[in-house]
Amino acid sequence: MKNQQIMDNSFIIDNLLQQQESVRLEFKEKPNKAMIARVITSFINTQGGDLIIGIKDDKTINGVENAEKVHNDIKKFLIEEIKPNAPISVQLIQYKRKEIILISVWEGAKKPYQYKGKIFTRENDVTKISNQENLNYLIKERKEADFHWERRTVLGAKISDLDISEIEKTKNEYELYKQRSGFEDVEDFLIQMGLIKNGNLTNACVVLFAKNPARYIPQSRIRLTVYPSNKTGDKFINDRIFDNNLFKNITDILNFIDITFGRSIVVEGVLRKEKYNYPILALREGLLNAMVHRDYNSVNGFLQISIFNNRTEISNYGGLPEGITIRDLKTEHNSILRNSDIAQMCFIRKYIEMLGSGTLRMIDDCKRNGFNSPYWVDKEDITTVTFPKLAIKSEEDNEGVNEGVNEGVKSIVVEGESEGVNEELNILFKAVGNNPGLKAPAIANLIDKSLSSTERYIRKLKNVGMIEYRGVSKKGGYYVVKSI
Amino acid sequence: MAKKKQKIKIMLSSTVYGFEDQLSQITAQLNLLDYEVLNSYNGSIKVNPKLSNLENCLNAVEECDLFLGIIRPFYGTGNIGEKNITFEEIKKAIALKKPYWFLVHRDVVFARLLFEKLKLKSGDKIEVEKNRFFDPRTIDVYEYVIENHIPVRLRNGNWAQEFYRLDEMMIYVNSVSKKTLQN
Repeated sequence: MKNQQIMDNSFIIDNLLQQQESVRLEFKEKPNKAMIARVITSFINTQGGDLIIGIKDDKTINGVENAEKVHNDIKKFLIEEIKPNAPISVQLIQYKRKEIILISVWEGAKKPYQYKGKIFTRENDVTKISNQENLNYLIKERKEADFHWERRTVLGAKISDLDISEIEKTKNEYELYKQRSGFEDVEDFLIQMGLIKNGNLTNACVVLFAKNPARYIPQSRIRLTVYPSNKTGDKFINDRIFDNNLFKNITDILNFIDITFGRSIVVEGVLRKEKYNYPILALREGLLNAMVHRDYNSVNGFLQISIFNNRTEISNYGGLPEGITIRDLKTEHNSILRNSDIAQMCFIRKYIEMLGSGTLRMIDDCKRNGFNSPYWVDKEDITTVTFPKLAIKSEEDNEGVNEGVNEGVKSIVVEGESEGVNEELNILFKAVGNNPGLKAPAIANLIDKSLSSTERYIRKLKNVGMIEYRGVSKKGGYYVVKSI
Repeated sequence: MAKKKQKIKIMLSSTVYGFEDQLSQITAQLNLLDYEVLNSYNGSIKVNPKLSNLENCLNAVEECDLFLGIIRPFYGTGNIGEKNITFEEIKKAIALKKPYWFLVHRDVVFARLLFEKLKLKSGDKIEVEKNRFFDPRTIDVYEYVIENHIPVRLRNGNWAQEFYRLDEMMIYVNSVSKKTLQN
């Protein structure tokens, strides 16, 4: 299927084309693999970056012929030839009716990286073979990376403390990413990935895969609180601690958020489709950003998700990395990784795409789906992303219609009806769901509306197939259509 | 036409398992320092298809001008019968009196000290279960190198360096290579 691999990331190309070639950006007209490998190696050794193929130096968009095959060849080539292993994202993007290829990499944390036995670095917009002075600098950076928290070992932790099924899943994904990896077993995989060093598990390994990471790293816990008002306080609607490994936490938190915000059924004529009541991609990206960029180094470190009645916030201990500002987050930017080993495994598991464009995608996702754009605040070593107006109604607002109807579906939206009418339709729909078999007068009584209004709403819901009348006229009543 | 400068050939000898990244990084470093690197993992030794792996590797030892051996706590999978390729390369380099440097992993150094002090009351030999972080046979390689080293009075600087991380190895390679290239 030709178009399956084409990503809808053309807004990222728009953003990149506004910039000039630089230490982090290069345009190439032709897909010369050796040339590409040199540039990508230099990016990984310097500040990470993006290489676009199919675009001339003067930014004329030529596209790439036979793009899907070229994309697959380049991806395989780079993953095999650049050492040590670094996450490399190669995307096929449809842009202005041409197919172009975007290759993106993070700055590496296992420097120096090399291609064909040569170390390349980037100086302004030029890729060069490294010199002795540069090499010394790369060695220094490597030393610092190896002393970083996530690479230190967790004394006392054993392989039996790990969730083997999560490691298996990751190993399987890695074998798809890099073919012919051929790991003997999960221990072998962890050694090769640098998550077991000299027989000891690293902090990153425990955060990623432990059955109970909080036993060794209490700050790995994540808290999610739903407040009835617009501020924190003693009163809350829900409060949960997620203390599993990173992958289980992602799944559990996303499930919790899905149930909390729910989904709507959008009715357009005879067509019905399910729509999330929250920007799923943006929230997921925000959560993953916080998990990957948070500062685990302090035992006081935290990750808190707060859902208020007028906004949702994700806050984590750990300010923006040096060199990144709030303003940068709204453009393509250098993604400086605080926890590169954790980030690499999240990339392999396809939970994050790389690039500094995660924040761009969050803004794009909110815009596309009619939500307010998120904004970031970096204050006193705490980074917070806020989704304005992303909130749930308090329990009082939902009284009487809160339970039961169509598990997972919170509301329906009939296209063409006003917000007010849709609210009334939802109240009636839920009342029918919770009290099947009632006639119009009983429903009117239940929802406290006049009979004529109730009949009008019933007609609307019948017309779009959400409810139906069953039984003979005198003994029958209204029911929710079960196929919804 | 100017004659092409002849590069110094350095043989990089090490077990590979779990060390692939670092081996390729040290190879790239040596390339940058203008050596010609002979290393089987990086496919840079001459291969005669009529000869065994071991024979090809030993020929590379003969060919090299300098020998850099890395002794890690992992013994290696390149064993042919009783012979371990890395160990045989080291023996040959010493026998041929090639100028050499050795990098020895801290765990091997420590294990040798510890094993000297460990005794079972029964007098039985201590056995180490098979694992992926330490093989006691690596102590044999280390001892061989120590016992066969040239006398102190003939030494030219530090011939061996203990290491734990990659940066320590790379800094050592930088400093000894500077000396070598100056001589």
